Amino acid sequence: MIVVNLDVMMAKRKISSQELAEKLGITPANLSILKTNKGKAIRFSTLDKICEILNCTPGDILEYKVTL
Amino acid sequence: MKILGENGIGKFLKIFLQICFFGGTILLIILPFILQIVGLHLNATAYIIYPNGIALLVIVYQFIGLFDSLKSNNPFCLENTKRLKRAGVASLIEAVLWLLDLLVQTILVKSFEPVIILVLIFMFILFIGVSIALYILAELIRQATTYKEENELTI
Repeated sequence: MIVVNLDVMMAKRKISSQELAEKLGITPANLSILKTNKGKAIRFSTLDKICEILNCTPGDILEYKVTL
Repeated sequence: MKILGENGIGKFLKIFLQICFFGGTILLIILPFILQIVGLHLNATAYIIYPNGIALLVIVYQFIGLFDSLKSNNPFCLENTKRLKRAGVASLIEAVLWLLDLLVQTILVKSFEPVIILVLIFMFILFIGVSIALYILAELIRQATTYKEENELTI
């Protein structure tokens, strides 16, 4: 399964959810869905903005974990 | 005409169905007394009114819930799929009951009045059709709900 490690990157860059949501142009509720792995998909445009704001690569945010 | 929302058609249909539901329930309860007053009594085939009535009330009850979700602007939810499936099962039961009534009329009572036979066959086919239509509708709503959820959870 794909795991979103957004909270880890946010902690590293010391950015709050509210601030990131504002910069991304999405609602804090949608950001929370993404952070808690409840989302079903992520748009390339959103991923692009996240990488730009957090100065990272998609691999830092998305991780594949083997499910048993 | 507004379909969804607080003042949409769903609200008025819900009120109409609620009247049908309570009216139907009361009618089923007082039916033997009414027949007694008019001097009639329930015979073997007339008893089928009760399971038929209950199945119809189940269908109406499910539709009340369905129109309630229209009123609250949330028609695409899994609960509506369940409601339509329940109504479909009730409709299938209704069809079986009409078939039973047809068999009772022809085999037990040996009444071959063409009008009654035709009406019973028509009711049987009608409820089979309604049941199939409700199942298809339930599947459509389920798929629409899945697409809606996927769309909502795409960030």
